[in-house]
Amino acid sequence: MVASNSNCDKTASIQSAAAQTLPTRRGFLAKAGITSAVGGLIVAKDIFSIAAAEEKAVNQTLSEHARPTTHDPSVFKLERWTPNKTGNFNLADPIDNHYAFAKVQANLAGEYTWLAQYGWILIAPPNEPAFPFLGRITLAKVFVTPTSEEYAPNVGEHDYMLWGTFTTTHVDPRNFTPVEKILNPYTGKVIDVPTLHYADKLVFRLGQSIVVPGVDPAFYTQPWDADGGFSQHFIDAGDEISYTVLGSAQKSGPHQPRCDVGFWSAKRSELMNPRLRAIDVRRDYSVIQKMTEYSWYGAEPGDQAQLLVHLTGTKTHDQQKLPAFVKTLILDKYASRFG
Amino acid sequence: MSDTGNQSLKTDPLLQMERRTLLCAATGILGAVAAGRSIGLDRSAAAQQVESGLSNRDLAPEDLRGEPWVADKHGDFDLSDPVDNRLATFKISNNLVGRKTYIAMYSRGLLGPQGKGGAPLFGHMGLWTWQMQRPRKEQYPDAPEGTIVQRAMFTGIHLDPFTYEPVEEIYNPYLDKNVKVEDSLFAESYLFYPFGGGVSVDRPEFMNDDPDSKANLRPLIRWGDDIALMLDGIFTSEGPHQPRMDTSIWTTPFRQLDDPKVALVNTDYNFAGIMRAWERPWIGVDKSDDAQLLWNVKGTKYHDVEQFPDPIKKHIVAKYPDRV
Repeated sequence: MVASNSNCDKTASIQSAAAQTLPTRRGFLAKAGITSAVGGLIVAKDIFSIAAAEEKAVNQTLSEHARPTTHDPSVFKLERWTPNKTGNFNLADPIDNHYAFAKVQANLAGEYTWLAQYGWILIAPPNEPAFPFLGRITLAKVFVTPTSEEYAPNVGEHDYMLWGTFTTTHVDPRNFTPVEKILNPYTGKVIDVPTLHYADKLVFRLGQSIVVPGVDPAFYTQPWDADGGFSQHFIDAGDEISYTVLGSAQKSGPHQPRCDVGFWSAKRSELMNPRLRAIDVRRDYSVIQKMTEYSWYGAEPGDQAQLLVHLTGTKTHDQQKLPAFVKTLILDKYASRFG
Repeated sequence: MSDTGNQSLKTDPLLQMERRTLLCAATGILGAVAAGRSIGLDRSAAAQQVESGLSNRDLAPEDLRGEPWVADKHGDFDLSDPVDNRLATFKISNNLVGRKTYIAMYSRGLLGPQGKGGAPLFGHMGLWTWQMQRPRKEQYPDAPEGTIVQRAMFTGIHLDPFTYEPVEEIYNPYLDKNVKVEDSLFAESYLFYPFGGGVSVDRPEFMNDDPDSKANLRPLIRWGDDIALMLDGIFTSEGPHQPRMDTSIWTTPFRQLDDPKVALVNTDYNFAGIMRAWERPWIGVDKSDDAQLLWNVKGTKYHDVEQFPDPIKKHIVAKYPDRV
């Protein structure tokens, strides 16, 4: 799959526009103020639940990932997505860029991808100093299929669907040993610290960053979709290519500001090698959100305290590369979720 | 769960420790990313920047020429020992052999208004230039024996948040207007005490630890073949600037860290920070507005300018050679 001339022309015009970017930017960013975005593998569906929950009582759990979800076992037998375009990408070309990002965030081999991340959560009370509260470890098993009308109407030839099964557990932020109960010093409550199990399915479409099946597009339309297909932005640092992915939820409400931003960083030589359909990648991620999005923190409705979640980690296709404590704390403990 | 772990969190003054025990090498990066120099700002904007602890600062010539600090021990660290733990953190984030350290980085910043959807605001490219030195007694007469001073100089430029090309102006979608960006140029010094903790000479409200504290072990997490140093940088004062904090994760191959024969280790750097948008006057947000900034930074540690990525050479080294 290579770019058509029209797409090349489009790219050229995009690049030209980028050189004088402000007028263009102004237009679609202004639009973004009322339409945009969900991005990021981890939190993408949160906006759905945020929007739904806003219609209900404010003391409800807002985050989709605060309650368990799972995929039907049958989906694991779906045909996998193995595109022909696997390397030598011209990243300035929208189509090549689309496939390059798929290779970075998942794989082009039809295999399972493991995403293992660790980091910590800091609590930020209003007007007071913040503090580290919990460590976090997340493991995801991801695979990619072609998409269908069932999930995203008007399927395009370049669309693909990413399925993720996630488990997130919490640990002592200093030594990363498991924690099941902890005093939340901000609320003064001893809370049960949950392990979170959830499942995501996300459609990636040429010209758009993300589609969450069943969700009003107004929630996930990305600000830069108006670029006409150059939706995955990257930093070219020479030997390394870092895709920058973000999802600033656009629905107004007390959950705002709710923003996330992350990097997917790959070695250029591996990304461009067409013989490598699956490559190891580093992922860095951060998000701010209100503590009230997760009821288990014990915050009262309307509380303005925020969380800063900061994670880093690796994407790999080799289960043997997963760090030992990820195997102990998640993979072995919840083996049935990961097959 | 581990009863021990739980109990330690209940009884150990984690909060006090963490609030006081701020990061070592990464301190100030929160400010670094979006800091604009005060030159050219009007009086109120300059005052606002001073309040943010980011007034234009520079290092005196004698500070730049200070005696490099060289550690006595370079590996085989006992990470539960305060002295070894500190040495390990310096080897990961700096070096123990008196060389200069550079952290080249890229970032994307988001503007998050209260109650409304946010948007990408800027990209950023930056460079820390660091050196660990022996403090001059006449400059820091009260520093405990064994204290190290870190000289830190930051140089950064702003980029379009989508193309990551250098720009003079960016569009602020919240204000619906273009704003002129300011390069990030400042410097500061930190004192690190022999048994952990330290103080920011320039911004003690950001970092001012008890020199006698023994509870300053930094989290060092084994992650496969790597080891990760986790640091937090939190402004300890109360006020409308809160929440203002950052966190950074430094990842190094464990074998390099532990091997005393390896002087300069490879380190990946990642950073996340939040602050009020009004703390960067060039963004144009009034102090009465609680809009926030979130940004994520990805970087790499170097000890040789020749190893820098080409964009850093092209846009930072070429523009500010005297700061490298």
